[in-house]
Amino acid sequence: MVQTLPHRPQLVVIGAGVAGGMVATRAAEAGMRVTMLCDGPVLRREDLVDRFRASDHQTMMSPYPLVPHAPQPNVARTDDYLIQKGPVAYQQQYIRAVGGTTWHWAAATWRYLPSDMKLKSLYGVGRDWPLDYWEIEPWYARAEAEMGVAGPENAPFDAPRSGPYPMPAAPMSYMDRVFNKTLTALGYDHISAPQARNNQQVYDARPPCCGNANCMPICPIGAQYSGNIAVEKAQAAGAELITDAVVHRLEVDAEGRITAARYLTPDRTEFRLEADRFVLAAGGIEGPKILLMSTQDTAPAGVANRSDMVGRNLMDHPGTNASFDVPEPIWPGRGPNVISAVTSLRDRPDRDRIAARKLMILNMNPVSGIAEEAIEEGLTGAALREAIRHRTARRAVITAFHEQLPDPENRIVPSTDGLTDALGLPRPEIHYNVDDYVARSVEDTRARVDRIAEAMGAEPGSVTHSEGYLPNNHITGATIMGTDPRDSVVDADCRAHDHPNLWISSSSTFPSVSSVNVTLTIAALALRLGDHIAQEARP
Amino acid sequence: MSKARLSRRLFLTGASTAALLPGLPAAQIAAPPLTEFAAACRALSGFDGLPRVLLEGAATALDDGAKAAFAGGTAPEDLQQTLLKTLYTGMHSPEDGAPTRFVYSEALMYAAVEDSLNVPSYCGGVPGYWAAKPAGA
Repeated sequence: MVQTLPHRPQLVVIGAGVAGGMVATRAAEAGMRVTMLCDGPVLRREDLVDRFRASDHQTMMSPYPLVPHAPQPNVARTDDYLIQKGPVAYQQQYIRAVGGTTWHWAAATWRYLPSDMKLKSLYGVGRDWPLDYWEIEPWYARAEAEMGVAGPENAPFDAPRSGPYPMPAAPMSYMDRVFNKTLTALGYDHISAPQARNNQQVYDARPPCCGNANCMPICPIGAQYSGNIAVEKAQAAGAELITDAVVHRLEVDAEGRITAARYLTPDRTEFRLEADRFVLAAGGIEGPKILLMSTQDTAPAGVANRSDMVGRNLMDHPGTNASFDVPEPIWPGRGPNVISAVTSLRDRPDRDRIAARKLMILNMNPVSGIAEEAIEEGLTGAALREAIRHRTARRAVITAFHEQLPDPENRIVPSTDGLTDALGLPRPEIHYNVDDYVARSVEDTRARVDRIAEAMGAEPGSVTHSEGYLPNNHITGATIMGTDPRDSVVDADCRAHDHPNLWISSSSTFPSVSSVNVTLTIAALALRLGDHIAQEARP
Repeated sequence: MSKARLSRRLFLTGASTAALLPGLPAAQIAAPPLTEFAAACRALSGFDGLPRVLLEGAATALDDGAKAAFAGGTAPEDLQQTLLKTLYTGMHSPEDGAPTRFVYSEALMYAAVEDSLNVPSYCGGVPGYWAAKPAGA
């Protein structure tokens, strides 16, 4: 028995992360009646910190409670929720709760370069965005102001800007400065990373970062921006939030308009919520899955899917890590988890055949793994203590994101084997591969890191490279944006080609993943979308 | 059964720790005072001062015989490594089961680097402190 809720909002936003929260805030501030539906619960930062400190294995997900009705991929075993059909495992994870996945991130808030949005035109690969960089630029600026971004001015391979960053860049750590000398000598551009974390000042009533060194998996003090802030602002502007509401179906009328969202509560009670407009902001996997589950007479292939592009073109930043020991102490683990990056590989002339990338010096405390390593070597007493200290001070890690091109064969679909979650909803099934465009780049990255390590004084051949492709949780592409309704899902306004009152706010709309973190672009498009909807709704 | 396998199992189950103290039946093995166990932990870990909560937590995972073996200097190497991991990570990590954390910030791995690194999730200093050269550099 489906119960229809008695009220009818002007806008329903499905999802309560940074994307949904920002759309909802803009619309509510414009006077619209807005309801947000979130599949998970409200989280309290202090609980997350306590859970992190008490957890046995401190992973990216250890602070976050398991919610049976809104399952999340397990960081150690993603196949416990995501069904991996290969040939490469798409080992992403995300948080299904109010605030979403920006509870645990390094707050990296990079803008795309103008060229990142014109890959097809400039390099003959991938797709172009139906937008020009300068159409988004004002929204980038607003997103930076909203989130509180600290960044460098006029840094090489940072995107062009109409104004300064809200805060000056966070200072580089001692380790970053040591690296900077070597990287500069090798000809690289190595710059302070723009980050949505308060740098030595209060911003938006949040405290300055005091270097808790725990951005991932949880900033204990809220110096770092997280999506719950957007949701709280939406609520303060009058938006309603319904939690633990797992949307599984959108209804479509004969004219192609979305009429209602249906959701299940943890006890499987089903509700309908009718509204004038709908924004799907449920993330890069759950969002497309909702569309594909919504098959009906008026949408036989699922909602927004006349192009058959929903679920396809799934991308990430296939990643690599490399660790090595340098002769002098550099002490990784002081301050934010990532402070700087090598940017000069973001856009090169060979981008027609080799993926762009961004290299970062990881600034995370490595002592845990080093302690176990030294103990297993049989060290004891003062020798053990000193070995742990010596190695921790010298262990360097360079991590890299590689740009992946959209490929329709990389896709998410609702389980084709009838595998379901606790609510009886199909689990996401992933078909995924990484092509030679990335593989060539990874090979080149490894050679470059070997040279960097040697220049830093590491023993030749001593670099330990990760195997395969590391996931970076930048889930993009599966409701791709474009001008042609025959091969894209949404238009340049993020409106579904097939439904005049449905928009999608997510990195799933991105036609390219670039080589930089995607959240600032999600936020910029969300603010733009919220403004667009509010203007359209204005009588 | 290998010696290593036997001693690891002793640690896990508390079974027949008399094997570590030849000539004594298990019923006659008494737990050494915490001070003696602590002295063994200090020598093994390389730390002169150990938090009481860390010592007590480590002791709960050992039966009396194992503690006596440490106090008497007869603990085999793999049992020593297991105790060291407990002291350095703050977790009981049985070979066949899930690890259990009993302390976090008191784990010795953090004490080993404390002049230059803060325990993750705790404030490291004044905003921007990380720009300074660390004490240990």
